[in-house]
Amino acid sequence: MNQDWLKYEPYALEKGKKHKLLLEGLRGLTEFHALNCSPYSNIIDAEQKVPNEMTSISDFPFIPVRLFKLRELKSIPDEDVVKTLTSSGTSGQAVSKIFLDKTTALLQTKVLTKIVSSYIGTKRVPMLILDSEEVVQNRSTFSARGAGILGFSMFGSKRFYAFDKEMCFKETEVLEFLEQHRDEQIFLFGFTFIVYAYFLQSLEKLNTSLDLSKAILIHGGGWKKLIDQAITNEDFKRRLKITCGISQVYDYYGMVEQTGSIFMECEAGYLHAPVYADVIIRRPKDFTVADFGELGLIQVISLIPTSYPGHSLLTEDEGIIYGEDNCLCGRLGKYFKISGRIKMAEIRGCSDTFEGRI
Amino acid sequence: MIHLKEEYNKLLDIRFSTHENWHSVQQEKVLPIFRQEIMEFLDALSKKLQTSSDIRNYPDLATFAFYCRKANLNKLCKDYPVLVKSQLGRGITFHIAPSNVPMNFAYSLLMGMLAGNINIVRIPSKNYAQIEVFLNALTSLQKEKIYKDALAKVILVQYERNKELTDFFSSICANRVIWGGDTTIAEIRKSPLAARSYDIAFSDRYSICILGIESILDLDDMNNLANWFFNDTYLFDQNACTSPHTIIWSGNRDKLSQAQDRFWNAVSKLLHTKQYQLQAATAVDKLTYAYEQIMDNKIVELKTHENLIYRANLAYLKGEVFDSHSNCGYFNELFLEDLQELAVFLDSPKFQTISYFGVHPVDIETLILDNGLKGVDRIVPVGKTADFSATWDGFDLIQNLSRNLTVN
Repeated sequence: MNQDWLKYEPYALEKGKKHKLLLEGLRGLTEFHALNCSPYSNIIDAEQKVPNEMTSISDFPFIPVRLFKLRELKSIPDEDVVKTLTSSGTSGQAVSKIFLDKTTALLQTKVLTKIVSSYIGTKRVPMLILDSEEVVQNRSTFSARGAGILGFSMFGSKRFYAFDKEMCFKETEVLEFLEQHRDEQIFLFGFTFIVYAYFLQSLEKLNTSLDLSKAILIHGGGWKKLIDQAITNEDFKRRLKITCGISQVYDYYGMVEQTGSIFMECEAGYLHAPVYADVIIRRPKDFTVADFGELGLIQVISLIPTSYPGHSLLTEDEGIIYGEDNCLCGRLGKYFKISGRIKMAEIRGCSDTFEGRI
Repeated sequence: MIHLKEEYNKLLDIRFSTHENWHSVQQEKVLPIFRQEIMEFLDALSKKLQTSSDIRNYPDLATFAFYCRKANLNKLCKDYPVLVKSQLGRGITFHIAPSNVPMNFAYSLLMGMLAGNINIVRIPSKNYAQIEVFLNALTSLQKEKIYKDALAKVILVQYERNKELTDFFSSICANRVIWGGDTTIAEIRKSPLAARSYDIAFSDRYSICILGIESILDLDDMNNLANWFFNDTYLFDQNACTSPHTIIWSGNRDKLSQAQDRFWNAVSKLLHTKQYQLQAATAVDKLTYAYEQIMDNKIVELKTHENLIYRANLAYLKGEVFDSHSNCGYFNELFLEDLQELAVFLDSPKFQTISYFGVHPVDIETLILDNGLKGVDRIVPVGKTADFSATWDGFDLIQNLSRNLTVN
């Protein structure tokens, strides 16, 4: 598989060049998966798609992410699987299973490095992980939370977990860690909900002297629980700033099915598609491509997945693209916002459809 | 007399009852079937509902009101001429209504009353406006003394999942009528019944539709047929047990695609006229289900009319195709040279309704009788699948909810 695209900086290609790059990449990936994953090849056949005849990245079939929970999809022999990623499903729910070979695992790391370095620099920095080490202890099956932490850990020169296994904030040790690295840029990483419920709320109660005004926080994992509590991204950032002075706070949107090519938030508050990935918003009524400014289902594209057919996926999230190549922050590419997970369908009819009714 | 512990009584929302307590309910007497005072009461209820100001907004309420008017009940009664004298209720009927069809409970209650029973109905916990109108009608009828005896047979309750309450109602009932499908039935059956009591359970079923190719091409106007089909399917998000999930095309193969185009274009047009709302989650569900079927080699071709209609061209006819289904407008399609081919897999109790247009119902009936098939309880024209009848899912509800007094 051609990996020439890796040479580009993450936000440096204007749309014409980027489209050409993605189109070529998607043709190759679609053909590869159709040859190596027979369930996927059935879909390409049924949709009557010929990879080389597609002229736009929006022509490629998109696989609903839920299919990775329902079926084991891979395009490599079993013996090449080096790692299996799983999504963090709540108990009783099926989890996504994503099979990685060496090539794909390595690509994930390379792409993530490219993207994150453009925010925190190429030098490794002391890293404060806003979670407990427990989450990454079981290495055989990574949860999305654990995988995220491990994925980002490579940016840390020294790593320190800010919470003990009971998820209590280790205030003294954290202050000590910050003192040791007082002249360095500190990198904070955590899951959005954990950052809010454990870090921010502990700090607000503790009344501590933590000063993180020079630090940078990257967080991801979704806003579902915060939306339920009516906490907006603006509130979140404002309260973090008040409690510990941190002003560089960046959310990211990513999913276990496309680990690596994450969509980072910019200074203007928008998520950005890097060169190696893209977003398309589709209208629920017919899956046609929505206009900029129009709310719809989010399709994500990534050039990374070679070990499984995950290069073009239909998510269960809704969002809006605001523009391309003209964000105030200066980054090229599409910029967008997520409005949240789609609501579970409410269906009429005499068969009871929702759980736990009885 | 069986007691309900006070602590559980608190979890129960009694929406209608004329009884002081559960003892009084258990002491209530049964009646012969189609008893005059019950029929009078139901007719009064029908009138009350028909004159309520909201009736126009709720066609399902209007349909029920129309169904329980005197003329219809008298007609129904004529089906049981020899039974009326010696057939009477069995005791308490405990009805568990499905959560997503507002008015289903009313038909269940109606059958229980006509069969001479005392009825405890668990109505949906969602507060449907139709149900509120129904409750208001009951309350206003309560003011009229002549309906006192009939109203004593009606107890409507709401409660969230609670085994103790279900245990209690199950222990005092002579019959349990369970709607809502397999999962609900399995859950409710964890609560034991008394020795002589039994369930009438409406399990998950599968329905199909047979369309005649030539008849569709001969139609001058497709609008009626599209409307009837809509009422069978989209009206209930294709999630009623009577809604077809597989369409069998019968007739001249050369004209198949022409007939299909004509039919589905008419349905599509109607869906736009009716502004059928497809939820985003449903659009994703349908695509996911289609891809699952494709991955499993169950279908050879997928056609869509926007996301409103999914047409999955079946690769073969095997029982496993009927093990699952999607909804909100997802149809398997298959052309059959000879309807006899259906015999192989209709031999399963899973099949409920066959709706038809442009084929002879007698041919389908013969197919089932001659082959001794275990499936299919109803053969009805397209548009009539959801019409309520006292015989439902192959059960005669009046007979099953009453007992015969033999005198020699």
